[in-house]
Amino acid sequence: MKIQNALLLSLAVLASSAAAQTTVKINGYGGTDPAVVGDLINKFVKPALAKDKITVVYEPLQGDYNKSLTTLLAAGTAGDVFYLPAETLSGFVATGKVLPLNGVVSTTPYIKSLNTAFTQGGKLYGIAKDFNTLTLVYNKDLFDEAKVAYPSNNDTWTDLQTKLTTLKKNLGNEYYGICLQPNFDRFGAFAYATGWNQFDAKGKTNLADPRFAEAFNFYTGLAKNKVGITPSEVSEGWTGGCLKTGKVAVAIEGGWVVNFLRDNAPNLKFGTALMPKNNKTAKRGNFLYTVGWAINSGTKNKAAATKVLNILTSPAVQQYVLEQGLAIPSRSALQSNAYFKKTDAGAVNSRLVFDGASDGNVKAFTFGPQGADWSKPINDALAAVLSGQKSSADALKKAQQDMNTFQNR
Amino acid sequence: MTVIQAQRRAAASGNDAWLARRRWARAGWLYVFMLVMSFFFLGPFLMGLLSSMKDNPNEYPPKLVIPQLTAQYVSRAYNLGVQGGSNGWNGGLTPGRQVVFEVSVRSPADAPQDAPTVSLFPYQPVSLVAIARQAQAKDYAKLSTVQVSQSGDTKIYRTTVSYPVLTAQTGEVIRAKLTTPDSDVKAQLPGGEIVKVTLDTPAAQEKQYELSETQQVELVKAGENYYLRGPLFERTPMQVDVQRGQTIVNSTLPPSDKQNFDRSFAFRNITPGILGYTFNNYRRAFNETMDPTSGRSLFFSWVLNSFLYAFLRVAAAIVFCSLAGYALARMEFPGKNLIFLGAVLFVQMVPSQVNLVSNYVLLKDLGLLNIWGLWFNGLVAAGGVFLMKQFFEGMPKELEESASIDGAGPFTTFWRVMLPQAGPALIALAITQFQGAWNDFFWPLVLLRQNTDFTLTVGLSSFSQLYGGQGDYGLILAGAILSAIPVIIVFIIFQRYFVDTGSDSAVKG
Amino acid sequence: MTTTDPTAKPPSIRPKATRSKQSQTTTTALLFLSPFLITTLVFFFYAFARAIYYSFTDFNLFNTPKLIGIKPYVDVLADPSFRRALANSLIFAIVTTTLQTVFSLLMAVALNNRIRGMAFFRSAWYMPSITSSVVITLIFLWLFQRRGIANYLITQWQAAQPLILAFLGVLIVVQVAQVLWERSRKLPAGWFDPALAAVSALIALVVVFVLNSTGVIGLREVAPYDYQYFADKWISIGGVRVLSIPLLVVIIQNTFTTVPTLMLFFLAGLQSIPGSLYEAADIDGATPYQKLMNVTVPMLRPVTFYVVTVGLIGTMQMFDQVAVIGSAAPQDTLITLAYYVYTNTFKNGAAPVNMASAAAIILALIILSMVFIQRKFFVAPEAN
Repeated sequence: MKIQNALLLSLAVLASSAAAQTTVKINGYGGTDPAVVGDLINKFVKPALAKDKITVVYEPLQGDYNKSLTTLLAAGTAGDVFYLPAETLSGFVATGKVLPLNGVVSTTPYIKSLNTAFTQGGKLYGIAKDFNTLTLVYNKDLFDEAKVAYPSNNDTWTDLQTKLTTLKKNLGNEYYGICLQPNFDRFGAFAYATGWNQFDAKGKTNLADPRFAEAFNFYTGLAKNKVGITPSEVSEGWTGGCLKTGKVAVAIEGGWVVNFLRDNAPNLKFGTALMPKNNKTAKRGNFLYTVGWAINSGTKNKAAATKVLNILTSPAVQQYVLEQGLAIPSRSALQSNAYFKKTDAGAVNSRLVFDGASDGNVKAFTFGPQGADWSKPINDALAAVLSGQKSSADALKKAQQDMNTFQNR
Repeated sequence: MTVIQAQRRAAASGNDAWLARRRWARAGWLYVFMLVMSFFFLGPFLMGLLSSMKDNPNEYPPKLVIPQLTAQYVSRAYNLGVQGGSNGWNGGLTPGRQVVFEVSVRSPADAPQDAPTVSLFPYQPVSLVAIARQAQAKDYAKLSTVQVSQSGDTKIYRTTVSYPVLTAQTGEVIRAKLTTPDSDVKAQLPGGEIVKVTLDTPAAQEKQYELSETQQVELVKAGENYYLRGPLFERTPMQVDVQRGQTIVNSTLPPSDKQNFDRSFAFRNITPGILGYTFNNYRRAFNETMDPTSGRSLFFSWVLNSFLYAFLRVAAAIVFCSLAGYALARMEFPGKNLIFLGAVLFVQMVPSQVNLVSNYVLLKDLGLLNIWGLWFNGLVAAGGVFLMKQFFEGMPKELEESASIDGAGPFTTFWRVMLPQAGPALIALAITQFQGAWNDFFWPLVLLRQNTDFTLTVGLSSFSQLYGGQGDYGLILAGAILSAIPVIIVFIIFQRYFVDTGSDSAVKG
Repeated sequence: MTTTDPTAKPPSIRPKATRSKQSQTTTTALLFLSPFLITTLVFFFYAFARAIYYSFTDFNLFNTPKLIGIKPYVDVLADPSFRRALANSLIFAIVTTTLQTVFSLLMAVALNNRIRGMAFFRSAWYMPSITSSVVITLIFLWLFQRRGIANYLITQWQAAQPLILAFLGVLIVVQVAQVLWERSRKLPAGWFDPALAAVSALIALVVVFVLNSTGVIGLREVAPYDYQYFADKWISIGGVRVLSIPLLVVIIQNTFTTVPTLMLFFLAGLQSIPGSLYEAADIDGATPYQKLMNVTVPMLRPVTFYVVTVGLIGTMQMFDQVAVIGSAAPQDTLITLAYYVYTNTFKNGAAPVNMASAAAIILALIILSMVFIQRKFFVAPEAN
């Protein structure tokens, strides 16, 4: 790491010119990001660019990031470099304000599926900053008390179901096996495990596919006898909240749940396992959630912005980010990093999130060209079955009808 | 019918006591009704206020008696604050202090008889903006747990948390904040001076690279040198775990979290002080929104912005609305009716969404997407003009006439004669404008783009975006109550006018 | 200076002086009005005109607008979420305005008494009206969670039902018995005689207490009432989704916040009704209900007009609540026209600003025609 730092520094010395002071502004999320990026700027960017007379500032956008970024882009006051969430890629590319990075940045060191997530029309618009995938996060105490083995990385769907049912039986009424969000954001990973595809060649969604039905029946079947419940049944908005209550054994969440649990249930002992494998395909399904670095096409400091982007995605930075437990880096070379061998709950979760990106059927999290409304028929069907209002077959039939209407709009 | 009524009335009139009794009873019922309605209208706020003090505002069933408002626990929180941070209000843990915390554990004969496992854990909630990682008490303080007494199968254990001083030097103790280090650790003294900090013991040197900027520390000044006495901790988070079969029956403070079938208790802060205990969420609203770049609390900035915006709106309304209202009420000129209909009445009926795009684009082009743009956008309220016009129309003409006899120009007349007479109307105007500005949400949401520029309403709504839109109701409720306080104060002072403002215009309008 | 008498001026000069004085007044008036007129011109009329212009173009925040005719209006009318927003806005405006007007009128009538401590109660009740909609919405979101205070109170109500029913039963029986007895003594006791009711309530309270402590009746065991308010739930009439439950919660919230203010309007109106009208009604032997319908309501017509107009204009523009609740409720259940305009102006990337403008114009037209119709049919007969 020190060598790399020195290298960067010497590069910066070589590249130094007598140019006037330029400021590169970065727009990104609020929350924990200002501290993290601020740290990166102080530790890596500033030393490397000091000689170039480039100052870098981070400007977090609070609230709805996409809306705020849109208004800034329209106002021409957006940063030279900004976060670009993969699921809103097409909307921002359409504004013409995102610079294609082909030929500007080398893409080879990054996990392939991540590059795909930022490619549109053959052009690459972002470099993955970090990413997340789904994992099974479980409450160790509940499994211990019920004398049931923890979920493991080799579990199939049936194994998981057996474990959860036994746990529920041993712990009784007050406790539940798993929290199930009635929406595509979590269920989709199970559908992918069966080999089902979100869109066929014509861009249509087939919900009558037996593979889809298999995943649907498994997911909703977990709710039988209250082994699985929806978060609102324990007055929580999401499945991370379910874990916090200490009454639910398993939740399907990504790395973001670690900070939440640390803040809201500091003495909860949790563990992480990979998503279970489908019995037939023996594969896991997963979503890839990723945010990239992009460059503003209207920037006046393109060269400086590119330098900043390259530093922020450099191996040194990614290693630091990983070792500090801040995020999961996008460079495939980091899989053998020492941090991933640590055994504390947070580090284990990070490793499994990282592994999840290249194990099984992993797809970028997206709703397709028509936006978030695409998932509504599926969400409605899940909600109807999980709450016992409809049979699975009826719900699926209705969902397919709604989906057809929606896609023919 | 009327005959019977008359008869009854006659019978009753002989009985004054009967009538008096009825009157009293009616008044009694009326008071009962008013009390019930008061509960209905104030209930949500009181419940919010109460819950904002809880560790978990979502607890079910909701309790009305909470330890945070119980004399016994509040005084213990005060004592623990004194023990840990020598300050019963702010609490915390400072170098050289010892804190004693007791836990009672029942171990029936057939259960393990071991002492509970007590440990400190790192705790630094991630709120709206993350501050740099602060030092954790876990890495500096030492624990020792001993059994102090036993009654039946319940044993009382006393845990002592001690925080040894990191320097061997003695002298004046100074509080300071660490700043950007170079090869040495540097600290900024309260006066602003930046000094080098000497780490004179191995224990201190070990921590050199773990302390981050903005960390509050205590220094010892000995001679010309400043020695690190140790970082200051806002919290002392402690965890107590017992084994299966044992139960924790009592502790100095109630736990903030229970896990593992109530066998694991977490105390997020055992040195809270009263502010850290009863008003923890309020303190968090200020402390955990600290902007790392400026070191200022965002929540505090939002309060200031809201006040600034409200003040600007009120000032503009008092001057411009009364000028316009006066002109419309007392001057004759062509197009007066058109202006009144078009610019006063019509404007009030058209929704602000119509002007959204244009005003946004315009202010964007002018580089005014900030408080000032927000102010210009609603500079002269049509409603205010209407109110002042109504008022001036009701004033006697003699005042102006005598002024113009004195040869005063129209502006002098307005400024010296009319405006001073308009006291009540101006107060009403100021109040409505203050209230409107303080509670305004749409335009601030559209126009304000930096989180340091937000007003309270916009800032507060961003609290509900925490943890991926789940929100942290402790912070939300505390923020909501805090943001309501200024309006309530204004209301209490100017109550009479509040009520009059609305109803007068209603009767006339 | 003080000695100059304007009436002493020679008559020949007067017309000219008046004319110049008139133009001088006009200049002064315009000067006085200028800050108001300029900002209104820039931020209102110019903006209004631009919105109309955008609503006929293909503007998307990032391009140079080009005229494309009425296509944006056609697109908007064909957009299902616009239709939902329109339906939600209309239903919200009509239901809320009706509820808040009726409740505030009834409360004002009940409170039109001069009693000690009235000032305290009035200010206490005013609380919901002075706090911001953002604060109240956040508090309501919290109250109406699945395991929130609202559901908790309903659970308690269900659990206490035996006690409440027993109390009411005893109350009614005792009251009837007392009234009959008083009447047999030729006293003019009404069925709701307050003094007797107080005695009845006390007796009922004692009876319930005794029954409860002897274990005859008691709290029922009920499962926690479990209802999710902010979900995709609808009240349908004939298969058409009319009102969503989340919107119903917002209606309750809005009524809660506005009733106190509107009630004060009505109170002021009530106190300006001459007492002689009621005396005349009393002589005619009118019942309290007849007095309310034949004296109070007609006399309050101007206030009612104001309350309804302000209510309609305000509720049609409902935005804050939807924006604060945001993703906590499914979008269809809460979207209003104002929110539709906002979300379509600021989207992820290029936004259909032309459609947003068209929707805003439609919203403005609806509000204006509502006010116009109201004026025509509600106030005009009175004016004649």
